[in-house]
Amino acid sequence: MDHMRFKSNLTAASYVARGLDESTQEDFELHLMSCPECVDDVEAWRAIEKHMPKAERAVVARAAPAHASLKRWRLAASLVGIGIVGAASGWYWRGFADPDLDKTEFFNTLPLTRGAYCTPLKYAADTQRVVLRVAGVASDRKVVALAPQGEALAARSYSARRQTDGSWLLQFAAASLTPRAIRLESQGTTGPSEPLGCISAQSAP
Amino acid sequence: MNYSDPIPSDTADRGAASVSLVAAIADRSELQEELYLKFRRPLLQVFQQRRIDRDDAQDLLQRTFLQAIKKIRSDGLDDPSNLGGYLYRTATNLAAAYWRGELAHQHDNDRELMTNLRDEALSLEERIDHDILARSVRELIEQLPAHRDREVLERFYLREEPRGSICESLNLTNLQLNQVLWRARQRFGEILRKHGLSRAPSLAAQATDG
Repeated sequence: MDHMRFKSNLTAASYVARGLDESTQEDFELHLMSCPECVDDVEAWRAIEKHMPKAERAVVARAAPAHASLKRWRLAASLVGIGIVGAASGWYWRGFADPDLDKTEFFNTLPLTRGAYCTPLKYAADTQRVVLRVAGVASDRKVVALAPQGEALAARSYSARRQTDGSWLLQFAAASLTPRAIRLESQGTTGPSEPLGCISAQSAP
Repeated sequence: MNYSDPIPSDTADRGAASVSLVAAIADRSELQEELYLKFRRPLLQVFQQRRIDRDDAQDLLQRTFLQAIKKIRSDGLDDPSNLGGYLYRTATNLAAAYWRGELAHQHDNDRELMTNLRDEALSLEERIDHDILARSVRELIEQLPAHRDREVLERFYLREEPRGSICESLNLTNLQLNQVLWRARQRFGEILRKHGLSRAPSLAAQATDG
């Protein structure tokens, strides 16, 4: 019965796109334990997601993987960032006039996966603000940043708000981001916290 | 819900197979491969869904199976027919501990075991060469009949946009969006089959039926 429902709803596709609510995801993952056919579907969607052609990916801001690409990335990401921040605030033109904008770095959590420890966010030494977009958070949950030991970061250290597309924008003062790890979690009124990732700062000279 | 809660869709046959497997593991029979064959692929997806990279996911897989075997051989499971549920809870708990930084990092995976794993225990990504898989996805994108279909995939998977906003901006119903995704999935399956890359369905079924 569940299998038919999951198949007809294309649940595997939504699962890989991180579009399921927490309860449905749990039901589906438990179903995966006994259903090779749905595992096949998930693996196929995972392959499609992972190997989407680069040209299609170009429009998505992402964390720079290496220092060499920092400048090129900053230019592209700034354009996307102007769109995101400007559209949200309604201040397109103020954004262009803001002298601090070129000292703001934008990252997307999409490519963030933890290697040995945490994914370093690489940015220039004169960066004043770091803006991080977190997608795929359920609508009834909020994103919080935590220190390594699990205590919430001070409210003055960062701000977080939901955008109209459902993603979250977190803004940190660059000075508050030290090489220490910062954990991101989604929290709701019910259910346990869900880890979203772990970041650390890496300022380039 | 805890690990002893039943898997709602689990059939009686699969439950019975799990009971036999748990009993055999408790008797210290050599059934580690059987455990891998049934649960390795779904557990790998559970870790990937939590954005844990491949090497660390392998490490967590090992820990999950080890923990389960120890539990079976010491205290036993409250409900042996729900072995999958127990492994799932163990895996999600380990993933949470991983992100909390509570697990010491280690990569002492059993390389010999990995090399000897039967094809049915390997995921699509592990079975097929990276470049070939990438080429197959490119072929899929090129074969999609409408620009709209490509846009749906891009927005769904690269931008992680919610279904609602995609439907609204492209003027699609939820059913139409599902049809776009279904066509893409079918076509991708055909491409894999055409290149001889798809898994024989009977093997997957055997893996579950135990």
